[in-house]
Amino acid sequence: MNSARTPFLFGAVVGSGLTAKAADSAGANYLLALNAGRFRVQGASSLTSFLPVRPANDWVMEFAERELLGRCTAPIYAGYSVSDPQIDLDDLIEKTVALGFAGICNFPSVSLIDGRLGALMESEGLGFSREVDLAERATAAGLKTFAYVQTNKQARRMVDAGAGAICVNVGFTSGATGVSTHLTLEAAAARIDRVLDGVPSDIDKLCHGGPITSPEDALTVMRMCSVQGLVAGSTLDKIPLENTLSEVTKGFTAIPNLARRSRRDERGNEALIGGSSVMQQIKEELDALAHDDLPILITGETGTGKSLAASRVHAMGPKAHRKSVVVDCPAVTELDGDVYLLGLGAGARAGSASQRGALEQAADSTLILEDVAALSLGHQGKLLKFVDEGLVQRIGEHSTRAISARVVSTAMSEDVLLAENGLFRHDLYYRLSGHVIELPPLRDRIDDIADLISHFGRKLQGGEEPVFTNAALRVLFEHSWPGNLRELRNAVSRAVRISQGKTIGLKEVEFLNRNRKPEEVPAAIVTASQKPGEVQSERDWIASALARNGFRRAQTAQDLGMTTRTLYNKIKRYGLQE
Amino acid sequence: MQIFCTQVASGGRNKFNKYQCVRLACRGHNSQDVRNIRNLLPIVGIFFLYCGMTQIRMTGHASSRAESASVLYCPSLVGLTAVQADLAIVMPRLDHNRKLRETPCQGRWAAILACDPFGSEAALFRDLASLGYTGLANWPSTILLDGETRQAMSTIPATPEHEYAALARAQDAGWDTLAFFRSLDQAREALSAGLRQLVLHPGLLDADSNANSAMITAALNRLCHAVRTEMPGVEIRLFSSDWHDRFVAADDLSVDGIVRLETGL
Repeated sequence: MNSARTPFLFGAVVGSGLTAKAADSAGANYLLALNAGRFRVQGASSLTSFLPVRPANDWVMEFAERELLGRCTAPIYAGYSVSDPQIDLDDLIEKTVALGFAGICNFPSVSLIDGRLGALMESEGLGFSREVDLAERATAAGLKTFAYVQTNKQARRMVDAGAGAICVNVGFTSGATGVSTHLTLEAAAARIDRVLDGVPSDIDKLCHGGPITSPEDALTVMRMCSVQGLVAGSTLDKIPLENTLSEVTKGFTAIPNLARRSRRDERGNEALIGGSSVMQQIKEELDALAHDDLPILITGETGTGKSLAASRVHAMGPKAHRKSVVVDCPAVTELDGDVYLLGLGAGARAGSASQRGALEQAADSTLILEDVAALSLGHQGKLLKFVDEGLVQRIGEHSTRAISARVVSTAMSEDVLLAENGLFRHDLYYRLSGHVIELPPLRDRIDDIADLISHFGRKLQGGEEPVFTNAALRVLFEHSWPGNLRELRNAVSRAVRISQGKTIGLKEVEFLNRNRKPEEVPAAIVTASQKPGEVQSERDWIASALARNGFRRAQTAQDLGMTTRTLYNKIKRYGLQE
Repeated sequence: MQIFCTQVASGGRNKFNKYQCVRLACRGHNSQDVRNIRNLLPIVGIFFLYCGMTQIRMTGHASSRAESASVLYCPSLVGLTAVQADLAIVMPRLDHNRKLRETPCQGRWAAILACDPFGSEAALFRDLASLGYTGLANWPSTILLDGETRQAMSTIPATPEHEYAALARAQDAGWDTLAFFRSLDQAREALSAGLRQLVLHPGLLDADSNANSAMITAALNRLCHAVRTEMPGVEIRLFSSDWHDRFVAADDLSVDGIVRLETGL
């Protein structure tokens, strides 16, 4: 085969008629019938090719004769192991010719076995020298040789033995096979060049394995070294086949979730979108409470839509004609929080005019206290007076003003407010929690995910609903969503952006799998009490995001879909800055 | 010859192994006498069965003779020398477990390829039991793999740990087991899997090992001692052969028995 005629050489390791025909029709230059390929199509690792699990040579001849030979246009090479001292090489060559193979290939090659075992194989005369011997006999019999090598010396010996193609084996294929390699593509290219140094130009030069696991990797390596092509094994069949099977299967298994999808009630606010029974119940509860005057405490993990639920209470109630007042409690600082909450009397501070505080502004409306647990004890005391007696006293004034306002508070959980650490006044808790509604985390209502992503997608695309493959939806269903609706909204936004208007498949939601790698959370901020498999807390979720974003707060806040200030407060609250 | 027999009998009373018997027999004799006595080792082996020590004969040759209780049958070994026997794990020359199942029972013990990714373990155990085997050992074994090969093979998974787990399951199912090991770490893995009959492999030896015979023996003794310290009562046998006899002074090792490789070459 001449490289001038063929700018890129492709060798396909085949283990079945199916793979061989597909590779042949796609233009493969070499078809290598290897026991490794056969093992892969049977669901085992190609590394099994070294084990005494099948008689390698007989097996290759058997499946090649039955499924490959005479059925493909590309030359077919038989992969042989000659480590067995009882093999008669001449007999092997004779059978190869008789069956109609174009040539032989030294695989599984002993050169891949390192350490003392490999050295012992060589010293016993069962190593690479015996493979060279096979190549010489093949050449003498008119067969071609496709030679796997690992060193320059091996390459030269195989050229001397008459090999027409030299393939640098860069090691066992890494990536999805589970094998790890220390080689980068650059290092692999450098090694390939060293091995191929001095190999004549009329010999085809290919490479296989190591970190080269995709056509893109092959292109990168080819640009960096003198190799002309690639041999693909697990990257040709196992990995793509497994991915395809996985995608198709997930497409089918997503059907139960999709079948339950409901278009009901999509006009409501997004926190309450979904037809799951738990959300239906909560919606009914909120709507019933909207016309009541009881203080409401809404709890739930971060991103479950507590603020939106609070807004719904206001919007559905009799005071909806007035604007609600929202107090972001983590943002209420010790320094100016009093003025912000209570307001300022005229002349209370040098040259200051009178000013209404947030509590006063909520008169005849609804006061929504977001993340109320973040209020300082001092501010809690002032709020207690307001909630208890409906009185507000501006800073610098001696008189109080009676204010009537509905109070709706939100918090991560009741436990935070009832903790015995003295950070939250229990008397205030009892006044704020006239009725408690707990919003479920998204992972507990996956039936609603399809409706939610449809809603978010339409908002992002001006009313046009993005199309998700079933497999991509399945990934969304399986994700644990520690950031709940906020995380889902960001994920949909990211997937829509990546897809550029096309169908959203597995690739577009792959970042969700990457993000949930536990090792990304630094050990220093993993709590000792966290048990394996335990649902991730907000603290862990934030810690993980910080680590993922190189501890850059602005970037982390953007990633988590919250303001930098909110993130900073949460970092402080959870002690993550230490 | 008269002295030799006397010493063997004496060894029997004192529960010496056969090598210790030979060493005793050799005392005070010249080198020619020693060679003569060593040539009688197979005969000594017969005595050996009666002196409280156990010897298991490991072979790849299937025989039509009546099965022997002391045989460990390992089809991967056929046609290999003692040195090449260590390479059997990376020689794709047969379907080891299938050969075991298709051959009549050769003795009490069957050596299985415990890391075979194909087939049902339960079916393998059932077939071997129906053939008449009552004991299993892990050979060919991954205990000798090192470097990148070991790391790569672990993804199959083909590791000593995996082999010991298979033996442990066999043990739970009522089988006797022999666990080959080469290092303290591997011994610990085997012990933690609940295995108590171990076979110490002396490691990959080559011609250069001859000069270090004393060191090898000392190291193996140390290893035996460490294993016994960690698990009193554990039975340790030595994997040996004519080839290994050249390097390992087995008579100086505190082992409970021998698994002796018969190559037939």
